[in-house]
Amino acid sequence: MNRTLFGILGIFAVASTVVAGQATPQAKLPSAKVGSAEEVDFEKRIRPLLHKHCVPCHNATTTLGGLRLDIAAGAIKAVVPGDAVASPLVNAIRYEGKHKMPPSGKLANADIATLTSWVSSGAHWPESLASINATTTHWAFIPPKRFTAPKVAGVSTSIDAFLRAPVIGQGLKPAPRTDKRTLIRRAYFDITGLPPAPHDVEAFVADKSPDAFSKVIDTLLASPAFGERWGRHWLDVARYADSNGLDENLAHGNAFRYRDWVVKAINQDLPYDRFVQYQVAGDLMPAASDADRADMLTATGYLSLGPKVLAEQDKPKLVMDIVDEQIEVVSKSVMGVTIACARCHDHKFDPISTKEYYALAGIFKSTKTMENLGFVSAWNERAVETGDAKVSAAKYESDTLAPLRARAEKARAAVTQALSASGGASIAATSFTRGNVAKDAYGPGSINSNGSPADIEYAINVPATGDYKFAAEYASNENRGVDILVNGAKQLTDVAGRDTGGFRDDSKSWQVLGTIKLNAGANVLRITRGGPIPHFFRFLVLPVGSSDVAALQATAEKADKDLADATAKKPEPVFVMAVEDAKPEDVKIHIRGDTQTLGDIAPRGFPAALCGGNFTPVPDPEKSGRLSLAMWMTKPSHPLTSRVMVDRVFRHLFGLGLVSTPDNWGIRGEKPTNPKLLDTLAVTFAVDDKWSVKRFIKRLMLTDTYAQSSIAYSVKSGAFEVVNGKKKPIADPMIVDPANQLLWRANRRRLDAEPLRDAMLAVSGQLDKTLGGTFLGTKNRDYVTNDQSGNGARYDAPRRSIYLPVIRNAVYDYLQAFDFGDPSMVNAARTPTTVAPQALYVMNSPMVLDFSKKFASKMLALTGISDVDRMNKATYEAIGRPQTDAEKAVATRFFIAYDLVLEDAVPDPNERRRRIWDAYCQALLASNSFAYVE
Amino acid sequence: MSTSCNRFEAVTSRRDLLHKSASGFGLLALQGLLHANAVAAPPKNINPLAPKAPHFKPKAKRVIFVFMHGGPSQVDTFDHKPLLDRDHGKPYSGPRPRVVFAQTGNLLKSPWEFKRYGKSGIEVSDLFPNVGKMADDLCVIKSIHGSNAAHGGALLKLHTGSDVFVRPSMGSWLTYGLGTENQNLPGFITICPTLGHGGVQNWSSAFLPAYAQGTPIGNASIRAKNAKISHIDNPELKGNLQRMQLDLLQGLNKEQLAHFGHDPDLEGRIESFELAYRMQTETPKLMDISGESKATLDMYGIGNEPTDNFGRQCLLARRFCEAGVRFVQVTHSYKWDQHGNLKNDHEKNAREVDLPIAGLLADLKSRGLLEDTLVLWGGEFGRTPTAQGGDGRDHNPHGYSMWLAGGGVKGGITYGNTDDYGWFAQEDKVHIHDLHATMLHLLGLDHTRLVYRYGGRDYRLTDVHGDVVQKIIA
Repeated sequence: MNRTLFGILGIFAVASTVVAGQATPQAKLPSAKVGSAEEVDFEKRIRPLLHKHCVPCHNATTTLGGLRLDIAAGAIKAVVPGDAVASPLVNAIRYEGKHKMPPSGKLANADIATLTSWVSSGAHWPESLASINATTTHWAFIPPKRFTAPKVAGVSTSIDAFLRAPVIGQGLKPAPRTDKRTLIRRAYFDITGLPPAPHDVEAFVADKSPDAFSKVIDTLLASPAFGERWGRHWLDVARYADSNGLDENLAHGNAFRYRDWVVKAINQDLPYDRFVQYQVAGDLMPAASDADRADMLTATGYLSLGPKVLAEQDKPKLVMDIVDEQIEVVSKSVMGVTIACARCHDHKFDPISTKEYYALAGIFKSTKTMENLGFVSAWNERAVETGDAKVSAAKYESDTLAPLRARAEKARAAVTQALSASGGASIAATSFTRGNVAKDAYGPGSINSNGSPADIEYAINVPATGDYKFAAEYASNENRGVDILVNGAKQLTDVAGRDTGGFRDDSKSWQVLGTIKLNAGANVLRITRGGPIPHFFRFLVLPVGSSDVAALQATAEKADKDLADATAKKPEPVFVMAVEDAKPEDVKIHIRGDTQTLGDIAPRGFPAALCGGNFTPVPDPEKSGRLSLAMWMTKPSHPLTSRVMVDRVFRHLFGLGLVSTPDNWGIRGEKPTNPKLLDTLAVTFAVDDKWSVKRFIKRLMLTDTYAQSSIAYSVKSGAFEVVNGKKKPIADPMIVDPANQLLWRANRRRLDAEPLRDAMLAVSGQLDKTLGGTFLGTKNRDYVTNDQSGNGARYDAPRRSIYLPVIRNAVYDYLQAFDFGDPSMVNAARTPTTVAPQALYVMNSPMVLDFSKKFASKMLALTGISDVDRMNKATYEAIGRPQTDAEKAVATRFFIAYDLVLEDAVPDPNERRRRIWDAYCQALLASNSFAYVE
Repeated sequence: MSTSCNRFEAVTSRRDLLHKSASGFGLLALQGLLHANAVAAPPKNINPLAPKAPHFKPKAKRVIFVFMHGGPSQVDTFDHKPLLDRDHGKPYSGPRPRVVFAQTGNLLKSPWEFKRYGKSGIEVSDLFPNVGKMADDLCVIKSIHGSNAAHGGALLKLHTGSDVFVRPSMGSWLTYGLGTENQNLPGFITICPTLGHGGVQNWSSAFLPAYAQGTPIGNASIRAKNAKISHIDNPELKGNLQRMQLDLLQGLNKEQLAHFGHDPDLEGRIESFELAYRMQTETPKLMDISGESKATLDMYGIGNEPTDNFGRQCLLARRFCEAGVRFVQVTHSYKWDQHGNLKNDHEKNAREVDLPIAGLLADLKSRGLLEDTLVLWGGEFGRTPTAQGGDGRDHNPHGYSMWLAGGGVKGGITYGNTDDYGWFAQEDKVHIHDLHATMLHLLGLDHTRLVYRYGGRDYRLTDVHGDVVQKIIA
């Protein structure tokens, strides 16, 4: 329908040009069509000029002279298209008429010329799709409905009828059912991302019962490996990562709890509507238990996982950038549309206005995502506690910590008293009299210099002139030695350079830095460094020789340390990245996305185009509106949510979606190849299957289409079959549909990065099936260095790939090489590429070499069989079927030749055999049969 | 052709096909093995890395980006400001940016003298005496401006055009647009890149196909002489043995292909192993500089400190360009961030790079490569004319200098100006987007037409901005 829509607009544009030329009050500016040169020119050169120089006084709220220059309907009052001389706007900017605009000063000549030539050439103003009611025209914005399946003979399910009808309609014959070995390997990888073991394959081959395949599907859906595979699919659209990325790459130390929740939720078959609701507003929903509450808070990590420019110093911009990222992830991952374009201008291709964008922005602005907006801003985290943990934490607090805390306070008080008696002083690092440092960023009482050279001064009063010990309590993760000046003279050089193990308060420790001379009365103590400083907390000056103070200090330190140790052992509440509601507020339209140029208030609500044509305000403006958003998106009648999800599931199982633009379901997206099937599946999933992903997967896998062979075949021209005594021609699929868009056969699919690695682990006998956990190796909120070799992330654990750390800006090179996608973005579908670096990885990486050796050792450990049998068994392990005779011949030739070549260098026959097997097993893991699922 | 066929074409874009294989099909070699029934004609020229025609006649064929990470100070290198000398130590009364990285104090004059070089008389400070000698080949743009005052954002802006969103790197755009001239090498190579401040994102292909991503050689923490492409050699299997193993693998693959019939994916993967094997042979040869003459090594300062490391990077850049790589970046990593210690550290940094850069320019020139190789020099931003501490400058993205050489730009000119003190670009301003547009233009690409459809929108390196700086084009 969209083509027709554009057609109408085109005609409309021509017609309106004529009207506008007469400059009647009803006139309109000629519209610039989407994608046209006029539109590009307007957005690039004209709109910015108008917004900068004119719109501040001529907009919806400030309409000086009754003129608006932010919309076409306003501008027509000042512009005569095609006639610059007659246009008041041109006269005004030329300072030629009564009005001289802008009043603050004449524009640059080049700008005047630009605006003049725009008017002369017709003053085209881009059409706004926001004003068009596409709700009734764009298929994806109309709620899906069920269709009756076409009548097709000989199919098992109605889904097959929908799929087969066009195949048969094109005169094609669908491919036959594939063999059982191929089918079970396909099912294993699709559901669990792991290969079947040879005995699984044989059991299936031996099971002649009609529901043999159905039983396999049930077993696989019930295995925890299902959640690990399908959880990863969701993490792709949730742009999951274990670090922030962008400029300040801090560790998301608790992100893995969100990832583990995703795996668990999918394994429990949490209905998809609830799955989405928890992630958008789990914190606002009632929970049945502490454990549920914990899960629902954890789920909201979804909103918080995005990359943020944490060191952005324009904090209002940072806040709106985060809101924008949240709108992007929610709209794309749940609804398959991009709304974020409307941040700066009405969406050019979809009927979403800037005002509607800010209506959504208000919802996220009313949500607390950030804990603070400091120099390097920090994201919000919340403690999740379950019943048992709560009780034990309270008991530990009262029985253990409280007495220790009282002892430490007493000891400190004694020190302070003794200090004042002895003439020493204790100085809080934050009590500086002058300094270019920030406070409290690395724990209460800390100071830090944000990477800049630091220069800080303290006033210290002591009663007597003399030598004093100078001690500091600080935290640092590198050598940042500072110089200490007293009253202008340098007394200590390059001190406090210790690496205490971290930059935050939990790594702070005391160190005596040296002896300084102080005068009686006021002294100026200055700390300088030509770079960032250690994060100081307290300083102590102590008269040399005042042993009683030193002893008391030691006691206090001991008490502090005991308290710290006990605190460290406290049953920690688990923290998760999570959001919470903030003060509910509507935001103003940010003109061209600029936080400094604000327009009308945009009351919170949902876009008209997705609500049957009427903008829907949030029902309760006293709340953020996030819960309403979650419920609105997951109504069974929502036009996009169910469609987008069934298309994803379909894509994962058939290697091809029903919509070829999975990241864009808007007007510019492609139409579905089988719209009735898509809609029927959407209703089936949301209504019949009650959003159960497992039920829906099984439904699709039990179709004939799923079980087809992947072998492409060709038909000679003139071929026919005889049906009911009539000759019926058979078309050649390699001519009619070589790309297999109709699914006349199964698609051959290359394994994604994770199943490829996981399969190598499984085949080589090493896979550790433990669920969950983290290998990030960097403390929460610390910097991950951006270097794979340098950071703490571990990729060598024999665990499923979903558990490997995902460091933004330094994605594990293996994942990067195999099309993992950028974890900062919503990846609706991965694009498999075949490039030489992947081959290098398989040929040369220590990872694959190690897998190959382990695989070889496993095969060599089998006793009582010949090497010929061993080759066959290895093939079966690797690719789920016995070796063919041709493969046996190729392999045998290799064994003989390799042995001969190795003989001189490796005289030991056992060693030589091991090496041959290493090389052979690596070739199996590298083979196309291993890397593809038929 | 029937209507139904048209419908299929609409959903199988050529681009989708192009994505799938970066290594072409070994069709000739495999013809005999194809299934008798599989008769579909293979698509031609499907290798996305094959050289592609530009939009119009290019002036340059390749780019070397010499990146000074940290932010070299414009007023201490290429933008001489007499008023800064005059008003040294006085308060600065002009406009300051709304958002600053750190507070700065009074005006600070440059600790270095400026001299005029060559026939053009371009002013260069004493930090770059050797580059100065190449002045008549330089086009110094003094009015570059960006927006982000933090390193991470500014690096991303410079490399990808966006400091907010994840976008493809400029080298990826060029590789996507033009392919590469040597099929045994990647199209985009970055030598010893920094792993901070955006890291991989600065050479990633984002939503562009993976073949367009930059291939790093080592990283900033590795000496250039030890840097290599990951997994470029097998620690255990050498020469003949690996070839035999590869023959086994390809034997198995061909048996499988014979079973299933012609399939571009399977054939593409077979060929990717052969390409990898050729890369394995080709790259180490290119990285081996032992065949270079003493005179050449001296030009780059190789074998002498403090120039050895950066000299090697520059020489490798020339060798890769000569071999047909489209975009090569060399990085002098995170050294130029002098919030303090400006005098000593800028001096130290310049000593490491001045001779190698001049050597690179002279070497390219003597080989006739400079005319179609665009060399781009600069950092992610400049620095403030006001002092931070007594001997430092803060970040300044609002007006700073970069220079271009070769590749169809006018030599021996300066373009644009900052204000009297060198804080804001003022005259003939050149935004990062304009620089990108100009670079693409010199390579024969119209920045408004080099687009990639992602998420329903056509994306460009220059977003919706960018004007080609026509006046600097020869």
